Amino acid sequence: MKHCVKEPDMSKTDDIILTANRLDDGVVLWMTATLDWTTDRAKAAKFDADSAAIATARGEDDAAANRIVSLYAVAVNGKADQSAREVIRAAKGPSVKPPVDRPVRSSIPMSKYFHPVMKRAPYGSLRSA
Amino acid sequence: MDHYDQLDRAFVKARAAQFRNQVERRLAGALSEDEFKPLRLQNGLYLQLHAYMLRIAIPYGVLNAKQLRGLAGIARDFDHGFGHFTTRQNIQFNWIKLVETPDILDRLANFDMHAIQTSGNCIRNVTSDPFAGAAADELEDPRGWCEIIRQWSTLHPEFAFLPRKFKIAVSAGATDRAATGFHDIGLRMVKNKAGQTGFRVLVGGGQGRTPRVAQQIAAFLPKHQLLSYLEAILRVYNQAGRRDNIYKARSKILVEAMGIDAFRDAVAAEWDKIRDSAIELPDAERDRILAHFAPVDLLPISNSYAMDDITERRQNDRNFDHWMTRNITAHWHPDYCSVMISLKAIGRPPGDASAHEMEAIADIAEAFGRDEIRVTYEQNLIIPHIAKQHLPAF
Repeated sequence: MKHCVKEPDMSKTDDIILTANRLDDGVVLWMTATLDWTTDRAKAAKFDADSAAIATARGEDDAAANRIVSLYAVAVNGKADQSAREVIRAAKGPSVKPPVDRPVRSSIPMSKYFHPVMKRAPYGSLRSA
Repeated sequence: MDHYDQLDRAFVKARAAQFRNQVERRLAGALSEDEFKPLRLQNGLYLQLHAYMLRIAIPYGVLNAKQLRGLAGIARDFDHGFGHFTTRQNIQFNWIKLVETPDILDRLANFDMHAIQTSGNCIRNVTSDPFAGAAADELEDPRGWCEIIRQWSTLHPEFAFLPRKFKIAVSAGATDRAATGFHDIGLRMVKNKAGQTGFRVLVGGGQGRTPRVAQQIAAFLPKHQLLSYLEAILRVYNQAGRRDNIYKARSKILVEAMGIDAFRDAVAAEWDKIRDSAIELPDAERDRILAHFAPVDLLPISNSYAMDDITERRQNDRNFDHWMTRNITAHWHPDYCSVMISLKAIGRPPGDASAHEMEAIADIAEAFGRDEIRVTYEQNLIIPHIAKQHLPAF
């Protein structure tokens, strides 16, 4: 199965970067100048018209080898590479502040909240009454 | 609520095992992404901007404490410590690893949950009034009918590859609390002039990039004909819905293009072929399912001593008074109420809840709320069946 790179929003003179997700865990990747993959957007290489074909072929090989998935090129033109999609991918995290979990669950002693008259959980006590 | 039997549990576990095998084949290269994508979508697994996302169905929005704790455990062990409750009574985990997804599905199966048909072009999770079975104003509990539709639509071979996703909502309250006007099919339980309960049927609603309010296709559908009528609607959509353009493939586009009268005629013609056929559920099976949703056994409780406390606290505690006004909903039993827990804290995305918060809510529901939690399309949680005397505890 041929893994085609999606057509980027670009003119023929634009440089490109290549991005994808790692197959096994989905982490966002960018291709480096050595045709490896990095999780750091700052280390992404820009490929000109001559090198883009080589880089794209390498990306398609990696997709065919089941190392990456969802490969596509992004034009480095100040528009496509600065889109909300690319900014969010580069941020490596939610674009909003997620709730913070406590590392260890604290058990809530429900009995302290029962009404003084009730003392016990309502259903068992009422049913047995 | 409905309960899994041995057949249900065996099926869900088998499905999880099947997906484990599919994931192993994908990672080994035996399946290409094009081959794997429809398989993962049928199990609720998307690939989004940052990572894989797993959507888990919460049928008609009903959870028990064990299930909510189980979801909290998945959030903590496989995600970033939180989950996202959606507008269609699902929960999503947004930081899932493909390699760990089979373990998650196994864990879900252990507490009677799954992710089947939460994505892909099929009939999705059937949603309902989150106050069902507790509301003071409903004709009857709609969840039994949701369960009947769920069983009919799950793995329905004819509707596994629809033109696009298909969503159904059921509401039985005087007020529509299931957004039935914004679903492919909206079912409102109504009474006809003879006093019989049936369904007002709406079609062609939806949101997204082309929002449309659903239109009425049937003013009154007898309950015993529900499945054949749904089948007729789905057949018309399956045959006539567009498949050439993903943005024009929803039923709302088809209904608008045909016009509601022509769409109704097409459904009627299809229905004539199948109405009162074997598609309809046998009475005994229908009654068996509906029996799972009989009104909960709530004993009268004298709330007089607690009501004095509540009145006093409302007078002295402005926040409590505001919370009572906004978060308490009338129950059919005068000594009880339903309590809404907002998942819309300022500065946080609607519907997000940390694992710890889920566990705390599970504890409260178990102690005070008959071990039930509901998920709302407004992305909040509800604990129904709370004795009013316990409100100060909140």
